[in-house]
Amino acid sequence: MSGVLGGRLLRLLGQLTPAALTILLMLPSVLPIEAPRLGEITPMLTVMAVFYWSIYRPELMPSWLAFVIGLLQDLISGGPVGLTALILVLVATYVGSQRRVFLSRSFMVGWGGFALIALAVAAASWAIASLYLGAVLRPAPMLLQALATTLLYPALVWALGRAQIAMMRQV
Amino acid sequence: MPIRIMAQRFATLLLVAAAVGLMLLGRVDNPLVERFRLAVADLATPVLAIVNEPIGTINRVIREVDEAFYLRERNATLREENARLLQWQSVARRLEQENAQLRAMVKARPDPLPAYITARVVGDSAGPFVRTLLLNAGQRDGVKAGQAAIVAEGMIGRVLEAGERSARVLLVTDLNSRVPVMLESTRQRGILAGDNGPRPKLVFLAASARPQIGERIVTSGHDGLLPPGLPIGIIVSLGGDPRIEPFAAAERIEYLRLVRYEAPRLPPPARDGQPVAQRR
Repeated sequence: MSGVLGGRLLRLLGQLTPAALTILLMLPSVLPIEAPRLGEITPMLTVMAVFYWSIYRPELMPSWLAFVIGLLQDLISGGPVGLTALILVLVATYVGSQRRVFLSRSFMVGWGGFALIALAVAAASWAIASLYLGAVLRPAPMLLQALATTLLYPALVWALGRAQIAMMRQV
Repeated sequence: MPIRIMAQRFATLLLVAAAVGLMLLGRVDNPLVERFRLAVADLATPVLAIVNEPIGTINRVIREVDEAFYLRERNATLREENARLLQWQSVARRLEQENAQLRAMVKARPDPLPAYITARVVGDSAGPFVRTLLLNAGQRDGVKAGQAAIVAEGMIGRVLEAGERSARVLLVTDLNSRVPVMLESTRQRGILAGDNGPRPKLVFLAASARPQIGERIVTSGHDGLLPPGLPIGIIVSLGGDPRIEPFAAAERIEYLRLVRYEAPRLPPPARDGQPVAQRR
């Protein structure tokens, strides 16, 4: 009896892991970390997490969940409400549609694909934020952000892979 | 299954439309979006405050290591600075006395003394779009939109919106920040306008004003919301619009103070058009 219950609990925990980890990865973007001049280029870790789960466990990262997580980040960070939500929905949808390509190719292809997506996200955020704020923003911080995110890709994919193995054996 | 795929596409389209709709609503400062944001900030603030504890410790360790390295050097500078400040102290005491006597002589009305609210920074908007800080104090602590946020070095921004137990501070470097200021020595007025970069610019300065590099910029209090004379920064470049280097670096702030300041106001006119004060 308790075995069955424990199994169900573990299963539930495993199913919640992608959402929980993505929310956890939001923290560097919203916490006051003392890194002079680095605040602007904090990597877009939520974009990377949504990218990862949309490839490996798309059923646990549906587009509505990406929307909710993005909305949460917008509301807490004080940025344009809906911007991150829009970006994350688009990333989840696009990556979901190209899932087979990413799954069948090598790690390097995945990295390259992610670099392109990060660049597209930077360009789209720049354009939308400029429209929203009614001023032409400096594009450099957003490009550096994309670069920082891309450089962190191997480490984060490794970490998320470990988490997936550890937490989601039952799911 | 085409129906499932169609449903999925429809769902995505709906979410995209919802996100764009939210952005449009937020763009026109819809009170609904603002209330929603405040409610989420109120909920998130206690959580962020807890998560912040270890980060505060890490930051403190970084600073302490940093300090240990430069201990000797800093000691010498501080001693020198202390000697200079002691001189200033005696000057300030004398001026304070003289000021009080002169005020009494001309029966000048002093500005109301401001009160302060101390708040902890629990979140900041890392990202290229906005420059804001999230505080763990809100309306129940007396925080109101418009109040100035200061640290020991000077003013860093003002309260943008206040929830029940959280508030958001718009830094002077934010694209939307406009603060009425003046040059400290010549009292020439201008507006300090942020552009999301580290150095906001000084605009709408009178043509006759001659800003100098190294000149201090303080609040002018001309919007009736900020107390006059809060230091903000110094002029560091002059080409085109002068650029200001703020005294306080926003990413190093753990605690800040909000100024509760009631600017002097005219009494409301009575019904027959005569000011109340005159009829008394």
